[in-house]
Amino acid sequence: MGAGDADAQLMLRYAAGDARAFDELYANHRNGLWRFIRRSVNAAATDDVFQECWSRVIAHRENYRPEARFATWLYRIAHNCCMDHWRKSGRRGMRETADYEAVAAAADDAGAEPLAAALAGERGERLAAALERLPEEQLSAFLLYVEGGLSVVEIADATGVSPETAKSRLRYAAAKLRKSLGDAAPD
Amino acid sequence: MERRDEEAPYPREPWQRLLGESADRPPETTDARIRAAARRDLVPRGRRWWLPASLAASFLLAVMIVRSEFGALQRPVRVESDVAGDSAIDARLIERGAGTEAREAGQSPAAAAQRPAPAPKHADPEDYGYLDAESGTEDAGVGPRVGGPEHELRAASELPGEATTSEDVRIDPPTARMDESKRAAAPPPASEAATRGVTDLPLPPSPETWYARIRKMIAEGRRAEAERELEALRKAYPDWAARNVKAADLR
Repeated sequence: MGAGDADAQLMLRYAAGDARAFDELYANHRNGLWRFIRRSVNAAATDDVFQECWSRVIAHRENYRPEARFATWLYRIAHNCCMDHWRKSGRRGMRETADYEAVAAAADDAGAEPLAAALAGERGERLAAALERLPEEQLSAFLLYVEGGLSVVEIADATGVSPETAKSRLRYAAAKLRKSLGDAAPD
Repeated sequence: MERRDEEAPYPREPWQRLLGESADRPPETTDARIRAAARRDLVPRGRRWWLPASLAASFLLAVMIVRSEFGALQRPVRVESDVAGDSAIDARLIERGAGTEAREAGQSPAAAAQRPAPAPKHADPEDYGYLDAESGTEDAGVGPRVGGPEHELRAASELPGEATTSEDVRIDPPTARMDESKRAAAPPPASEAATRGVTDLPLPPSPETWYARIRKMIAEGRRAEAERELEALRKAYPDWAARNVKAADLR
């Protein structure tokens, strides 16, 4: 199943010693994984957890078996890194309600239209606030589903619950986000 | 993908677009650090362990060299005793520490070997230089022990050619090559007399014979000589002399 995955092939090439395969793999997943971690832990810890996650990918490259999609393997590692961080910090840290950094970055983007940037910033701020209000289990399931592209079964496997529980968490998360975002929520 | 999404509660793409609008991305320094770590980790493992392994091997070699150098100084040194004849090489092992103690400060080992042994105060035939009980004490092992009853027993069991006396050990090589007749004519040094008394001099006469000879000297008028002999008799056989020597016999 994973052997046909392009990312899985890249990972196998990297394990065999091809450094450029890793660059390609990293480029494919860097933004999505960063957002996943950024939404899961506080801003100050994001960089550390992100690097720790990729360090584990590098260290365990020889143990990787393409039995599942690469994204499933990658986001399971990322989820475990977030869990470790929560254990060390006692709780999922204080995530910033307002995504001010994202707003500022969008405003500084020279290529972006000012109005679009403002709208994107406003939507991002509302989305960040809505995600902040989600319980940890629902947030993890939602981010694994949306950012990681994991299926319900894969989410259940990664988080150690039954598929029914995973599907239930996804439904609750989407319902709460729609309620928080109002018109900005997707259909 | 479609099969996996059959049980999906809702489509993920609209949510992906919403979350993807965020300009949130990792800093470039983080990107560079992770890529560098990925390349660094690809260095073959064999090249990572050879440096510490070679350092450890060098250290081990240095330790072995130092130990072999200093260990040689602490091992007993095999030396050849001074030669009294072509076939009389007597190699013996001595502890370097004992050899150092045996010679004076600043004196070379060769000079110490040539130094004659101190002469005993009395070259009495019965005086072996030490008591048998001393051979078990700690200081009994410093320097070669010669003489004594056990030496006589050993000398008796050896062939004449095998016997090695302290004379052979201590004599100067040039002196050893001296003609035997000259050596016989020359007066023996005090140390030689002391050691020769142990092995070569005859046993003292019995006290009765000795005392009879003294009385004969007195009778012949050789009084001074008789007094010296009587003094020697008293030293050699004090108990016998106390019981049997009478003042009346000496007048």
